[in-house]
Amino acid sequence: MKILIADDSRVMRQIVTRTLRQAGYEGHDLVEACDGQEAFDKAVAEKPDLVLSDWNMPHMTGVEVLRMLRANGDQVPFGFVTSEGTPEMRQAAEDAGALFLVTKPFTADTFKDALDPILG
Amino acid sequence: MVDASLTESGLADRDLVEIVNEVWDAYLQQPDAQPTDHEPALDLRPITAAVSITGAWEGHVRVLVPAAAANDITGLMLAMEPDEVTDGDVTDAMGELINVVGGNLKNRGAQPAKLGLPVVATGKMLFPSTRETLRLAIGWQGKPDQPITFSVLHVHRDRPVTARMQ
Repeated sequence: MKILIADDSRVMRQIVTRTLRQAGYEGHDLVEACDGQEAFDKAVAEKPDLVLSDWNMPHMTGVEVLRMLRANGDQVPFGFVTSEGTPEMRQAAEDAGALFLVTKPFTADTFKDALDPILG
Repeated sequence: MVDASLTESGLADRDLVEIVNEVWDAYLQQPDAQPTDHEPALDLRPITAAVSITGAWEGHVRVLVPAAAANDITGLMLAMEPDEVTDGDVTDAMGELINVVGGNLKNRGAQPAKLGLPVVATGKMLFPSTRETLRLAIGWQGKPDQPITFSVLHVHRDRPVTARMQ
């Protein structure tokens, strides 16, 4: 499977990659994007099987990326990894079509709970 | 008399302790942080990372990290050896550290609240017209006298109005 990791922080992309490994999801093809526009472009061009996206990113927020993908008919499974999991944001994520919202800091167990139904 | 600005955030010491311990566990794979009473060691070229919170309460969440500890932490976050870490890596890591701690404090505190963008600088960054209402100083690698110091700084309600252009 191919997983797109979108976050403007290289540190956070690295931690997401490490946590995926620790959660047992090894051997997947990982693609990275460092802002919202790149996330959208790579989601279209690379056709990943899953997108893990930060919320606040330059050029386009994560939820804007998701809305634009859905508006274009792209139904790629999409989840958020963010430090701000307010009820309003969870609702906005769900309304836009996100499968889950994982809040930072996360552990391998948190990832398993969110990703097993998709990558299991 | 209780200062209203001390309570309006809805945050308590345990919130800061719990959040920092979660970060230490999840990102640094370190045991619980060990609190210390030592003051920040300003002669060790600390890195400051800070993020603002506005809304139902107004303030800043700041961390002062001795340079050597900032390098260690960055190496752990990026899975790199400390001597491979660049200044840009440290900036990214310290910004993300305070973004996560600040974001979680914001979520636990009075609502509505909005988190700003993190800033990172060398030295101790000061915020005028603020009061430190929460502090957590923790040792790093067995050096309690060189603590990493997290603070919540409230903006005074009665802060002086700054000069305005007419």
